[in-house]
Formats: sequence, structure tokens, C-alpha cells
Amino acid sequence: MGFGERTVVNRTPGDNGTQPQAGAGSVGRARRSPDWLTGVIMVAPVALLIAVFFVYSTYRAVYQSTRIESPIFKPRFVGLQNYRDLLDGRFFRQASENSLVFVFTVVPVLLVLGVLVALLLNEPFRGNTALRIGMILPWALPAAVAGLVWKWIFLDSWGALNGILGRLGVIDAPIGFLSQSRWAKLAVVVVFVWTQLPLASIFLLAAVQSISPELYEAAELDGAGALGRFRTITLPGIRPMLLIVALFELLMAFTNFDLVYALTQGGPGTATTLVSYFAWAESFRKLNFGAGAAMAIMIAIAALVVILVLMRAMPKGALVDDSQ
Amino acid sequence: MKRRGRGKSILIYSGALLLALFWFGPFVLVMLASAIPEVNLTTFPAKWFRDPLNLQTYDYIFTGKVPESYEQRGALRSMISSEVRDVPRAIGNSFLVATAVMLINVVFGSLSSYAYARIRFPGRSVLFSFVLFSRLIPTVAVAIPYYLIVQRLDLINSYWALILIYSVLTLPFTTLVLTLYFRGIPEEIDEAAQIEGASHWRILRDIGIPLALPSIVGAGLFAFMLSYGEFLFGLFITTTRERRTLPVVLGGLSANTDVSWNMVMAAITLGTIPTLLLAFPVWRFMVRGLTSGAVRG
Amino acid sequence: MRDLISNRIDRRKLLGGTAAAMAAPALVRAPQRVRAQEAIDFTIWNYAEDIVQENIDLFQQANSGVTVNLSSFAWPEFHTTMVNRFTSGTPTDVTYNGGNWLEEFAAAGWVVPLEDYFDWVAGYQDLVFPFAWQDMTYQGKVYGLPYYSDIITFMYNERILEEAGISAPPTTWDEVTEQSLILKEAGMAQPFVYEFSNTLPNVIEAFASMVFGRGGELIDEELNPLWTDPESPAAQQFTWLVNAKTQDDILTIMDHESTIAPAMNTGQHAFTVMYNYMLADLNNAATSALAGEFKLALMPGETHECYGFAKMYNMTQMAVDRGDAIVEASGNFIQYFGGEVDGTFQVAKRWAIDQGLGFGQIPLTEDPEVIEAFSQWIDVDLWREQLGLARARRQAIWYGIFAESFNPLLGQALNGEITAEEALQAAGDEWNSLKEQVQG
Repeated sequence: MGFGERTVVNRTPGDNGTQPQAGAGSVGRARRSPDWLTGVIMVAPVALLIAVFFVYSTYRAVYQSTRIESPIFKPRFVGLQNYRDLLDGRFFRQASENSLVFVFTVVPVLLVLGVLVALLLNEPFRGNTALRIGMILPWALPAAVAGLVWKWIFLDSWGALNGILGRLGVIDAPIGFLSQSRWAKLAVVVVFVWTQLPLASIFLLAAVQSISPELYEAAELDGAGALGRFRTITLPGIRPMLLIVALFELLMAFTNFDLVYALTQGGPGTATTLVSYFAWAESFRKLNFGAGAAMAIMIAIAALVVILVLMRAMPKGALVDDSQ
Repeated sequence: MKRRGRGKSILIYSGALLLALFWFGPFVLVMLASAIPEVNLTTFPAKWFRDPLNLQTYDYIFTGKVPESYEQRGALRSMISSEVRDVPRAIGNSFLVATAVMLINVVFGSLSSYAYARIRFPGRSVLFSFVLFSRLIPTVAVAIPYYLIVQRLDLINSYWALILIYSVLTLPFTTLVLTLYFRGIPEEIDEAAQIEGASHWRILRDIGIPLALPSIVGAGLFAFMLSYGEFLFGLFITTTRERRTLPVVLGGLSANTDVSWNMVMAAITLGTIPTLLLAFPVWRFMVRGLTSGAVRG
Repeated sequence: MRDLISNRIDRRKLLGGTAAAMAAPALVRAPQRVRAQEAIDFTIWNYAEDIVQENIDLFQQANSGVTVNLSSFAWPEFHTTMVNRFTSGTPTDVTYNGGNWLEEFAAAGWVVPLEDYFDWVAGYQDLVFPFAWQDMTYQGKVYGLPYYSDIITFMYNERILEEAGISAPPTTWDEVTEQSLILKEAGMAQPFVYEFSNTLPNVIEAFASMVFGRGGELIDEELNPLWTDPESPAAQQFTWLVNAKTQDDILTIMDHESTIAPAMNTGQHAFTVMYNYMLADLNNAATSALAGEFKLALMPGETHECYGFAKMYNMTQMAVDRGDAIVEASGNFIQYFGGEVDGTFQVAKRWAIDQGLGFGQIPLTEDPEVIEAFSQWIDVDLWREQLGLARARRQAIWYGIFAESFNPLLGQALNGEITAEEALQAAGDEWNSLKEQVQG
């Protein structure tokens, strides 16, 4: 991929700048078994393993997406019918809409909270280390299990939250947090943020700490307030990392399936049916493997497009030169 | 360190408290619930402490000793979700699989990332983009093809099937992270080594790996976590209780008619132990590495 | 990583790489697996797996030379997992199955009629409840013997009704509404707790049971949907559920019997409809704070009929393909588990006594041990009366797959996203479209 060569150029000005043209045969490398062979040997295990799985599965997915395949129908080729049906169908549109709303809620929330938590953890206070290390727990809990835990918390009648609120006298009767659309949507967002915030914060913390303290001192001498310092120094300093985190969380939010499966099964109604969950339901519940495959391919394309757009937004060399 | 104002201190400590509550609250609740007799757990308003707490759920999971409440209260039948006793083994299975995947990621991920970052060979760019973009297809689309592959390799219900699949799912990310990292290491260092006659293998061993260690460990941890928590493939591929992984067992339990929720909570509590064992030290190492700037080349 | 994309040449390389990758289908050949002749693969949904394994051990002792490999899957994923196993040819000789999927599996040729292979099958017809027998029958041939067979019933909390001055449980759905409103007046938020989730196979069965209580059916003999007629019992019951949730606010939703049983035990709800064996769970003092308060009532409605079903042991085509020895072993296995051995239906009886599961074998209704066990959690006379009113549903190949569309539509209506009429209409369209595609 492109950034191989380019980064080498970027990173090593001077003599090495000629390397790309020189190709593999640079000084000092010629004596031993050829470098390219070493390279091939090094990448072979991973590339081969992935190739076997990827090639076959992509081939199957594309093939299936053009067919009706179900235990009760006669298998047959239908061309792009599955894609058309999906785009015309109400459910798919609803699920896509839900996904968009979900993604564009959780990603900004994660970024804002992530920055706040990073700034907080950047301050010395008692318990800082405990918080930093303990925060792995939510992230380390399998998403399906996190869903189970929070399902109990949010459940009607005997859910933990209802039980506690009832005990405190805040409510007289249990609230159906998972059976009312607005609550259920909020619940999915809360749980997703809960599982993802640790990682986002730790990466942003790393970015915050990589900013040279002298910059702050200089700004302070210039009389900049806390907010001003944040705007002129911190924010630009962590911008590349913000983009990386945004990219990662975007993908996570877009493909999130286990959580919805364990927490709400897409309900109530279609309130929390995200497109990734819908793709699963279509394939694995309705056994409509063709439509499921078509949807997965559309998700993949959408993800690709989003990644491309985000990468355009990234400053040059962001991932290598300025980050971390 | 400059002194900070009183207001700021209050802000910081209340922020930290809120955060701790949000992050750790659910765990405290789960651990608590695992010690609450079932009849008290399912109450509204909560009457969790009507009877003394006890650890009989854990006793049942490990020894099969049925909690007293089942006998004292004259329960009619043997209605207890015995599947909860599969949890320790399931934790072992998940841990084994996840550790193997982590090692594969560390070893082969480092190798291939170093090569992508440092060695020119034909097809490098194509191969790299191929590895990365292989992850864009959602898992629901590849679940059945993957199943067919491992089935034809006669690996259904084996650890190997899970290890292979989870490696395929995690290696692209590991490769991306580590390649970026290796690229961040100033080229001059290994240029010098090369002139002295060191091979790439040697440079990787003596220079690349030591420098990249926090990132390698971090990527390994990532792979571990994904494998430890994966649900969909675990569901399809493990067909006997001897092989089932933790998320599959817990998923099944929660849909089990005879389920006791305090047992489920005990199971979840137990399921976080491997995290404590492995992830804590590794995470600590990574947090230190990341936040002390050691990650920078 | 910007360079990764913005570089034209590389983008082309990327596409080239993907195309090359897709052009070469990786064909992995299946190694021929040689299996011991007498090993049979048995698949179940994982409920009380310890007991299943014990029964298997007993069977192996009684049939030396036969070993049974047990595989199990979570109930909500059972349908999917089995379809995957069958389409991929993963070895499976005997399996649990439910009426929802029998037609689908039989039409696909995955499971075979028992009576084509074993003479003893016909002898069981008179020993099994007609509804259970019908649920195990496809196109006139019987495919299994019952693992358990049960009915879906209406349950209520007797103490709560008494305290509210209600002397008898509701007998019609209007009375369910009336009593719920009385309870609501007295401070109970949602008296009816309804087992529903977008993915739960039980939903359409429980719905059928409520429709049967009104004397209705879901489909006619030509397999046309009846619910599209607003006057039909099916449409009325559908509308009742939707109104109870969206208008009267007397109904709340929980996703599974394992969460409903605790919910009933909070005393925050008075009514529910579930598999009858759940009454045993509700009245189990070990896990239920309110054990003893839960009672059976005849299914509300004009006829009080209810839905009866059988979960059964099926033999697969794969077993047949493996030859006579495996067929014989599978037959022995099914008969041992679902049939009569040494004069008793021992496996079914154990399920009934230990776990409160219903059964399809008529002689067990007179078995003193069974009656003693059941009387600890249910009014046996009333239960027998309800059992006598049970009937099986009409069958269609696409029933199981239709259920996966029915649930989300009902869910949307319950959530107020669409009206009951719209949901019923959409469900009718879905049914007709499936029917058309299957029948061609």
C-alpha cells in the first residue's frame, strides 16, 4: 500500500530520499540472501492464512448475494435482485437510519468524553493510577457478556436499576427501560460508550501527554486562559489521534452486533435494530442468506467509503509522524 | 507541579468519582448479585439484603454442592441450571484459545509488520492493502464460509478452528498497528546495523522488537480480548460442552429456563478473572508505555 | 494513512489485488472421516444437559456397542445452527426438533419419517396425545417420538387477584383487560407481562395458543392466512396485545421465560402466558419468592382451547445414508428416549417428575408418581381439562421462517411504530409471498 514508500520518503530526508528509485538494491543489503526473499518469508504466514479465508469467503459472499439460498426455496440465480429488494425494503432503510443515528451519536460522545477523561487522567490526583489500570475492565468484558450485565441492570421489574431506584423511593413502579424505544436507544448508547470509552481515553491520554509542556508554559506567559490553551495547543496536538479514535470507533459502532444481540435483540420494535444486527437477523434468522450477503457487501462498501473520506480529512502523515 | 485551585480539585475529584462509578459500578453490582440468594435478587423494590449474603453459588459452580436454599425451601425438583458448572472449563477454553491467538499475533504479526515497514519486496503494497481490507467484510457475511472451511479441514469443535478464525480476524489490525510503529522507528538505526552486516532477522530481534515492545504487547492484548469475547463463531464451531467458550456458555445460560441469575452473576465474575491475571499486568505495561512516550520512536 | 488512499497507483494495485483474490475460489476438500459404525451423533438444545447425558449413559449400558456423541446449542439459535449443520453436512444422526421446523426439515430431506424404517412406530399412535402426534406428523407420516410435549397456558398470581377483590381469574380477554385496569388502579404498573422478543421462537406459538383460546386458527386448510380478516380471532388477539401495550398500558414486554419468572416473582405483575412447565418454575420455592401463589387458568376466550405441541426426536437422512446398522441404532435410541422400555416411558417420566416438563405419552397422565409431582405445582384436574382442550396448529413448510418476520412485525406494532392493522396486513403479505415462492 502506498504509504509504505511515501512514509519512507517523509521520514528520512537526505541521502535516503533516493531510496524509492533505488528499489531493493541499496547499499549494504546486497551481500546476503536477497532482501525481497526475507520480506516474502516474513509476510507469508499471515498473508497466506488471511488469503485462504478471505478469498473463499468473499467469493462465497459475492456468489450468494446474487442468489436465493434458503432451505425452503429452490436455489437459483437472481442477479442483483437481492440488492434491489433491500434498497426498496422498509426494514433495511429503517436499520440504516438507526445505524447512522447510532454511529453519529456514539462517536462524538466518545470523542468528547474521551478527551475529558484524558484531561482528567492527565492531572495528578489520588486514585489516578487505579483508575487508569482498572479501566481495562469494561473494555475487557466480552460484548455479549456486557450486554447481559446491562440487560440485568436495565430490566423491567427486577432489574438492578429499577430495584435501586425503587428502594430509594425515586419510583413507585418499575420502568421498562428496555421496552420503551427512547430508553432502549439510550441504553444501547450507554452500554456501547461504557465498553469503548476506556480505549478511546487511553489513546487520547497518550496524545495529550505527548504535547510538549513548554508549549503550555509559553502560552501561559502570553496570558492564555485554560480554555484558550486547550483550543490553541491541546486540540491541535491531539487532532491526529482524535481522527484515529474516530475512525476506529466508527468501525466498531458500525459493525457492532454482539451488544444489540445480548441487550435488546433489536427491540422494542425496530428501535435498536442496527444494520449490522439486521444483516445477521436476515441471514441467520430468516435464513435468507442471499439477502444477508448482499447487505454485508453493502456494509463493507459503506465502511470503505467512510474510511476513505476520513483519511482524506487526515493531515498528511498523521498516522506516522504526529500521532501517539 | 503547580498548585491548583480548590475549585479545580473539587472538579477533578468529582469527575474521577463519577467515572469510577460508571466504569466499576456494574462490576460491583454483579459481584454483589452473585452473593445474593436468588429469591432476594428478583425483588422490587430491591430487598437484596433480606438474608445474609453467601458464596454458595461459587461452591456450586466448583463443587456441584447445591445451595442450601434449594434444599431448605423444599424445592420440588432438580431445577437448577447445571450448565453453569461448565463455566470454569469454558473460561479455560477461552483463555487457551485467546492466548494462542495472542502468541500468533505477536510472533507472525511482528514479522510481517516489520517486513511491510522495512523491506522492499514485490507485491508489498498490494499485499498490505489486501491484509488490511480483508477486515472490512462484516463477520456475519463470512461466518458460514469460515464454518465451511474449518469443516472441510475437519476441525469443527476443535480449538484450532477457533484459533485460526480469530487469528484471521485479529491479524489485520495487529499488522496495521505494528507496521505503523515500525515505520516510526528512525531508519538510521537499522541502516547502521545493516552496514555492520546484521540481517533483517537480527535487526528485528535486537532492535525492532525491543523498541516496539509496548505496541506489540498492546496489539497482542487486543487480539487476546477479541478472541476471549468472540461469540458468533464460538456458537457455531463449538458443539460440545467440553469445548464451549465463555461467551457461548453465558449466552446459553441466560436463555436457559432453569437459570438462576445469581449463578449467572457468579459466572460473569469468574469470567473476569483471566482479565485480572493476564490483562492487568499487560495493560499496565502498555499504559505506561503509551503514556510515558515510550511508544514514540 | 492518507497516502494509502490518495496515491493513484496504489489504489489501482489495491483493486487488482482484490480482484485477483476473488478470482480464485479456494476449494478445500473434505477429508473422508471414518467413523466407528456404532457411534451416533445426537444434537439437542442445551437444557438440563446433565440429565440428557445421564440418560445417554443408561442407554449405552443397555445397548452395548453403541456410543452416542452429544452436541448441544442454545435454544434461541437452535434453528439456525441446525440448518447450518444440515446444509454443510456436519454429521448428525438423531436430533431434537420442534413442530415449527419439522416441515422445513422434512421438505428439505434432512429428517426422515420414522414409520418408513421402523414397524414399532405405528403402535405409539394410540399412546400419544392426538395434538402431539399431529405435531410430529408431516404429509401423513410421523417423524418422531416426543422428547416432551406441552401446552401453552395462562398463568396468574392468585394472591394479587384476591387482594384486589377479584374472586376468579379472567375467562375472556376482555376480562383480562378489566382486571388489569383494576390492578392498575390499585398501583400496579403493568399487570400483564408478555414474553416477547424479536428472535424468540416461542412467540408465534404463544400467540397461536391465545388465538386458540378464542376458538380461532392462524391459517385455513388451504394454508391461507386468517388474520388479515379483522373479525378473525387471530386479528382480534393481535389487536388486543397491541392495545394492551399502546393504549391501556397494562402490558409490558420481557424477552424470555427466564426473565419473566423472576419478574412474576417481584409481585409487580399478575398475568402471563408461557409454556406450561414454567408454572413449575414459578412455584419452585428455591428460586421463587412467591412460590405457591401462581395458578393455572383456562386460556381466556370463547372455547378455552390452547396450543399443544411436541418437541421430538428425529432421525436424519444422514443416518440413513450411513447404513442399516446406524438406522437400527438410531431407532433403538429414539425408542429408548421417547418410547416405552420395559413397560414405562422412563425418560419422559423423568423429565416430567424432575423438571416439570409436559409429556405426550398418555399413560403418564395416570402415573401416580407423575401426578404426585405435578400436584405440587399445578391443579392437576384443571391441567387435565386444559390438556383435553389442546390442539396442534396447522402446518406449513415456511412456518418457522415466517415466524422470524412475524415477531418483528408484532414488535413494531407493540412499540407503536405501525398500527395493528398494518402489521397484520404486512404479515399476510409476507405469508403469501413465502407461500407463493415455495409452492411456485
